[in-house]
Amino acid sequence: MDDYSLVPVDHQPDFENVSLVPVDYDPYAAAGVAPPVPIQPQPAQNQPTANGPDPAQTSGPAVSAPTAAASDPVQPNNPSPAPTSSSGPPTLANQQQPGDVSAVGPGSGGLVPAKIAELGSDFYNQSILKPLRDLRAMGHDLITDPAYFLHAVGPSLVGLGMSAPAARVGSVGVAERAKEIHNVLDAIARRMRTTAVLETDAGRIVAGGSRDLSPLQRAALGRGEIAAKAPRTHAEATALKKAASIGATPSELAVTRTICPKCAALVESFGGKLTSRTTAVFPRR
Amino acid sequence: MGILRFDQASLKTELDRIAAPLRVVFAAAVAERLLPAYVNFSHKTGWGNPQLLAEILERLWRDVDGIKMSPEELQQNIHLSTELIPQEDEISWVPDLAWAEDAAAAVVYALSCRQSGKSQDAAWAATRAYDALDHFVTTQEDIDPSTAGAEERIVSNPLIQAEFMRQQRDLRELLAVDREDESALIQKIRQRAKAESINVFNKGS
Repeated sequence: MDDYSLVPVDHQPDFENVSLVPVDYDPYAAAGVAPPVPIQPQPAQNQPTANGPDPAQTSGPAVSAPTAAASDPVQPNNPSPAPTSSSGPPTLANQQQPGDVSAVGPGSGGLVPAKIAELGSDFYNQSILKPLRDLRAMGHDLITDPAYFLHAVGPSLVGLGMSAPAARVGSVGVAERAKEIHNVLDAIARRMRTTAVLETDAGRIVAGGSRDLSPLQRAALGRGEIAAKAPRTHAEATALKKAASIGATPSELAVTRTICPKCAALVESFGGKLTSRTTAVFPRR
Repeated sequence: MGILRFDQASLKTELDRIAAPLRVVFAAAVAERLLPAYVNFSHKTGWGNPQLLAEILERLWRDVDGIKMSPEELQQNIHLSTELIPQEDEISWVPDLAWAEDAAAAVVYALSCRQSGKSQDAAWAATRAYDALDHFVTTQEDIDPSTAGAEERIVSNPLIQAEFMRQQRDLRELLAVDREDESALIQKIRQRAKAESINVFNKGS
């Protein structure tokens, strides 16, 4: 029963009255890059304002370090992170507003609707599936937020395949699940990073090490799995902090690398007991 | 709203449709665009060797342009560039470490693609660009991925969308090129990747 689905496999979502191609949206203009092929001339109102790249904005990646709580139980290697060059507000300066083409790069233009439609067959866009994907994404957001998890996932999402991952995930032990999610990473990342899965009464909390989960790892999470985030923090500590922050009671932990002494102490402070180099249980008190 | 989404399996399928040397071009272009992230990290932390990483990538470009590396030289460059990947256990954590790791790893995957010819290696290079920008956006905007709407907010960020479009554009051009025009296209993609690299993490990309 590992891979069963709650709906017939020939089930087709009803896309009647749904536009499958976003004909009124110009992703090139919105994101500020040139289209891949020459296109028809644009209406005057869509012409870029000829602003080039801002010299002040061209110094490579530089962001404010995320604020880390001084009480973080595990802050590996670095009690005082090196300063970074940007100290502005957390909102992205590069977040363009609809119709804002001031940041469009050299040689860029717009797209005619037909060009947008052409993107529908592309591997990055696949607009034909977009309504389905949007619903899935919405469902993913709902179920990864514990505040919504108990209330918002209803039968309406079953037909979109939301329940199959849940069944599979629920039947997999935390250690195996940690390996599954870890193996989504490329070979280099698998050697360098850590993935932790913490079973709790609010769902499974999944965490990565200092740089947290990759987007493909997050996409691999199923129903009842909660992505945790805590930059600079070990995966075990990230998961336990998340559990504490949502009031969840942990029961079992599995990690893809040996639990370090600091994290072992943290596990014990949460009432846990190591059962191997990579696993722990949290007996009920 | 039409949002581009990264589908590694589909990307690999598309990469399977082009010749192995052109897959290397695709991966090298990704690595070229990420390279400034490594340079910036190294300047901030004093760790790494951006000049060596740039030279290795430059050597790969000359290889695809016809000045081939021997298998030994190729293996050596894979080894050297792998050694240049910063590891969080060795260096005090700064957010830049994440995308510097991705930049160096993308070079390794471009070289691995040259060695193996496999689409998967080129797809991993592209995935590293996604990883880098995903981490950049979630860090800069302090987005908690467990909150409602977070994934849509991340993937729809213009920086991520722009990189998806650059990859899409490069792949389309590589799919469409005639054999006699390959050399010119490789030069075009190379120069464009260099020019675009300064803006991958910034407004105006």
